[in-house]
Amino acid sequence: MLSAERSLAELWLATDGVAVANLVVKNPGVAAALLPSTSKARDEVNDGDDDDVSDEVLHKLIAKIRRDKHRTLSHGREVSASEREAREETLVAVLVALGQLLPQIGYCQGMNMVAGYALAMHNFDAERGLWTTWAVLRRGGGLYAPGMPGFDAGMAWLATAIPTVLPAVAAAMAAADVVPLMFASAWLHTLMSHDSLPAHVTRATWTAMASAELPPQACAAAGATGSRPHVVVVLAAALALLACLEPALGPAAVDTMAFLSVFRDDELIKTMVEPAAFARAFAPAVDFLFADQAALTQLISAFAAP
Amino acid sequence: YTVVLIGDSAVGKSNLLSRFTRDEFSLESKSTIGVEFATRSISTDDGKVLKAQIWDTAGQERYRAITSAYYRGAVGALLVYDISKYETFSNVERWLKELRDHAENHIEVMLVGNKSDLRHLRVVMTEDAEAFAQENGISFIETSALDASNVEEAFSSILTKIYEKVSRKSMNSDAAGSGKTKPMANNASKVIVVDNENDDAAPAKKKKCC
Repeated sequence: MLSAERSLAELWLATDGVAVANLVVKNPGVAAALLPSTSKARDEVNDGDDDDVSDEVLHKLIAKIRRDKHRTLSHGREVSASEREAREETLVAVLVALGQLLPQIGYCQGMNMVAGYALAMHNFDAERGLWTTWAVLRRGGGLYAPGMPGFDAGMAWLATAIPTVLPAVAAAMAAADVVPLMFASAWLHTLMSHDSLPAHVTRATWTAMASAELPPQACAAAGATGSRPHVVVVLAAALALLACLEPALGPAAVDTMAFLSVFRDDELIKTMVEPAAFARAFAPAVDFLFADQAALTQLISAFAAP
Repeated sequence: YTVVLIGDSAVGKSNLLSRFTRDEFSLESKSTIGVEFATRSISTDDGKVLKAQIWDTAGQERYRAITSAYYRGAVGALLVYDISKYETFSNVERWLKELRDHAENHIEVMLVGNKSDLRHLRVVMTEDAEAFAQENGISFIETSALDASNVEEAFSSILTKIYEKVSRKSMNSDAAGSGKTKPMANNASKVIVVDNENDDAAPAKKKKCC
């Protein structure tokens, strides 16, 4: 575990309002009680013929999650096969527990990446990973719930913000016939933990989610108790990424595919989205996001778990 | 041509795409979030180069609101199921309805039974899938992204069919004296036919498809 990731874990455990550590302490055994439901035996008992509706729902939930079991975590070469299996089972267990704690969300792809990042941050401690992801989903569940209201609101915000803040990028997008939906789903639904993004972007986004000062009036207007985590700052991170990549996006505006290829060019992203450049772009993007309190209130509401 | 890859989660859509465009396969590929894409050009028997833009979509139902936006500009769809998971075949009908609701009327559809290397785990019989395809007027093939069997054939076949269809329509249109085809709302739906001697970077001779 890198020290930077360790400090991020400490930030999430200690940050007032997130209080993951408190959740772990105040809910002894909750995770443990939910986790055994993922056992292989339970999975096999529920073969689809069960009349119990809740069992059927749970069975489907587990089946959906298991499809992504091997398609989420990146393992280093030093990680043994048994350790990989243990980590992936922990991931499945956490996602099944979340699906039961937040049945209105259930399971949506992208949550696997978020839970995977939260678990890696906490060195695969199931309880801490569970409550960190739960805290994120309380404020960002609208990205994943049926109908994806948070995602729709985020796309609408980006469609307005990009021409205002980055007119050259907006012009290039128009020339290439590109809308934010085409590149931002992977960013938003993984909360910037997507493979295509540098690790420092993920870390900066998650640091801001746990620590940025969200205007209390906007939170109150949205009916949100407490002010953290600020999952909406993922939109500012998206804007910052576009700002860093702006010099490459204009020349790539020859067609849709050429434009979108910029977001899959690892070398180019590594060069253009280096930590200092991203930090320089991220701070004003957060300021811009927080400046319009009416828009922010709408975003907080749409992002919140239904 | 714009082609979409659709079908249930974990049937192997992304690996079919990576096998076709980069000749790569990974057992550890990540689940697709939203929409991914890739391009590749192939040559036809009459010496044309067809440039394919392929959208690879997330299979989970919740993403359909996002991914269905891509059907509108597509002229072809590979509807993929897993021969070792019956549910993924049962859901093919729902995917066809998605296409009927959101795609162009004349979209070319091919049913693709993937993971044909998993012979010992097969639960969807080839004859059943063939019969389904016939009933619904779509073509059918079985593939394995893992061992590469029929992957090239699947993509080449659908691209060639689209090319033939577009060429026929273009000729009919010319014969009718209009000389023009219906404009599309989305640039991504442009049919791009490039002369064989030109590479992808060269300016393409563009036609609009119907």
